[in-house]
Amino acid sequence: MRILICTDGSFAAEQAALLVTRLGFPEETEYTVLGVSESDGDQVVLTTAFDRIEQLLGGPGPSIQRLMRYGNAADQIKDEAEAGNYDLVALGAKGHPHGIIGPRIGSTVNKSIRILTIPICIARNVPEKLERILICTAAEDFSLETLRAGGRLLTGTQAEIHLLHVMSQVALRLDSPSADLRDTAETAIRRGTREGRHLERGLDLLEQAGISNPVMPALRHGLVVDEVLSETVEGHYDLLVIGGHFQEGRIHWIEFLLDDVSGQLLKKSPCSVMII
Amino acid sequence: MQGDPFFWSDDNSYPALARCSIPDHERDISDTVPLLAKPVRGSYGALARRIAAKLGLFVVSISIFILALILVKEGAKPLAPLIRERFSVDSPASALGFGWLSASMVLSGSPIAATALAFLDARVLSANETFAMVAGSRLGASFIVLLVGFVYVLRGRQREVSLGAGLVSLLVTQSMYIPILAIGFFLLAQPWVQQWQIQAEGAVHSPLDVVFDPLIAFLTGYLPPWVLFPIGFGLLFFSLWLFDHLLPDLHLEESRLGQVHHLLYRPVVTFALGAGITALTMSVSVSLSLLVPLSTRGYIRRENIIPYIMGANITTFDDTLIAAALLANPAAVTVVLVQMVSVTIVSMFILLAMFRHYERFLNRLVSNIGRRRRNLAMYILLTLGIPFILLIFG
Repeated sequence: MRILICTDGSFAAEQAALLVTRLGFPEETEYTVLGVSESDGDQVVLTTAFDRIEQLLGGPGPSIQRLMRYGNAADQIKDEAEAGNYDLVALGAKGHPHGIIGPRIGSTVNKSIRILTIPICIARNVPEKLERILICTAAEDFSLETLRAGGRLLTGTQAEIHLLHVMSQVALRLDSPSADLRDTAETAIRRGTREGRHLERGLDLLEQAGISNPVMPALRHGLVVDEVLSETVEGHYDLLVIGGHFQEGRIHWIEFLLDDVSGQLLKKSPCSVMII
Repeated sequence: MQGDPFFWSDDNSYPALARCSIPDHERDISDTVPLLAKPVRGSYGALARRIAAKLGLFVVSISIFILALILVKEGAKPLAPLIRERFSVDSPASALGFGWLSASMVLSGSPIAATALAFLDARVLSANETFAMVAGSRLGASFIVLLVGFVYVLRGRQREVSLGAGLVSLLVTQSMYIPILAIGFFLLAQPWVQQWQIQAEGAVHSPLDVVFDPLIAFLTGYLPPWVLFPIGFGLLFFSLWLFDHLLPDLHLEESRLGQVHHLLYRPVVTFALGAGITALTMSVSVSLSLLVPLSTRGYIRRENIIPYIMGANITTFDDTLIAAALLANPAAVTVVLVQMVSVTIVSMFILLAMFRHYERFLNRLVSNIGRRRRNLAMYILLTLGIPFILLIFG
């Protein structure tokens, strides 16, 4: 496995390295610490940051590579991510999740999540140990692939994992089936509803991906962003895993029409977010 | 990163799963909703006949619509004392209540809005009062949905389904109309708004007056003038019903719009979609019903329905605008345009400045109203009581 940890010398970037260590990747994992210098004088700061991040990863070793690039940070991260065949890019989240004015995440993170095509992890409030992880899923084909990819990245963690699906539907007709709108995960699975079948399939996929701990399904009803955030807060999760990543091949005007749900979650989530 | 639909389910993407999960009696509802006739794929002759039939129906319905407007206008003149004194429709507040109650009773907003314009043309109402009555027509238009939903709740159906989109639709309209009224009255008070009117040196007459004047004269020779009002009102209904049969042949599930419910779209996108589709259907409820076949289970996403209704609330006035133009009354055109502009201003402000808060607020409100039967009954009482209070004390 190959992980790219990006730093601008800030504390947030060190949080990214810390989160990577909490994910329990196998020993043979290769780490590249990328520092991007956008102006003169950055180099000293970046070198110091490299040292600190190396310490966090267990000290200098053959599996850790240092790399310094020059130019726009997001563009350089994209170039390196594409050239290095990485499995995950880790960044730190600057800004405050409850900010009112201006971006609640840094501009590099903001741009990176729009242009990167591989899983990306944005670190925020990283705890001593990852206790609980929330994976969100939709009943769509591509979310199954996301579960496979996400599952592979989480195989090393011993955290309790929950699989959440949010139903935001309301009935347009008086003869619409009402039971589906009141289901819990358990009843949905038992009744074999569309959402229940999807959750069941998701649990299988996570198990096949190598997650050994039992995964708990959850089903909530309401506005998607609000329900995911509520679950994150109420459940005291340490990591939120979501889809919504840029998909290559999708027509641009469709991308333009779609709501930026992942962006909203990333801005408002109180914990780290992994976007598959 | 444009939001990829990762967290929400879609009702068509797994048709096999969806079919498995839905009992037979609740399945395939899309097939039970004959939206509109399918496009003709036959010969050119059949197509030509179909177009000719549509054109003929259009000419008939527009003629009846115009006749109805003239009859309502002529019939309203002798009713002026009754409306202003007996019904106390002598202020914008009472006109608002009058329009609201009338639309609730006749289960439709468009005929009431057109009637309000006829009242303006007959000098029964002022511009401000007409504006308020047209606004009231929108507030009362969705009442039927709530009433039917309540009956279903009483009969034991789940509230989630019985109220559903209807309650959201009603609440969107009700929550927006206080600022809309304020903006509308402000705009109507501005001298520059009067420039929206078409100015003419002489008296302006509709060319159709020439056709219909003899008919009106004939009718008034045999009937009391006030009788023209109920006749005209009935014809208004009939002509709007005929208009419904002129809708373009379209199966949304067969078009690219079939993707509409599939994903969470940016609010401004569903706003535009609601405005566009309602411009064709002229009715918010018909426009919403067009979305039903897109979902196997007859669901729509909460995130999509609110901006859709906001857009629909603007273009639902296009038949009222046509009525104003046909009356050839510049003030009536101004009133309708101010109405549409006011709705647009409030909608755009909500969409661009506070949509997520508004969406959350409405969602909570819907949950609270639907949580208990008592809450729902109180809400219905308020929805009926407020227009009465406006009419009596306004």
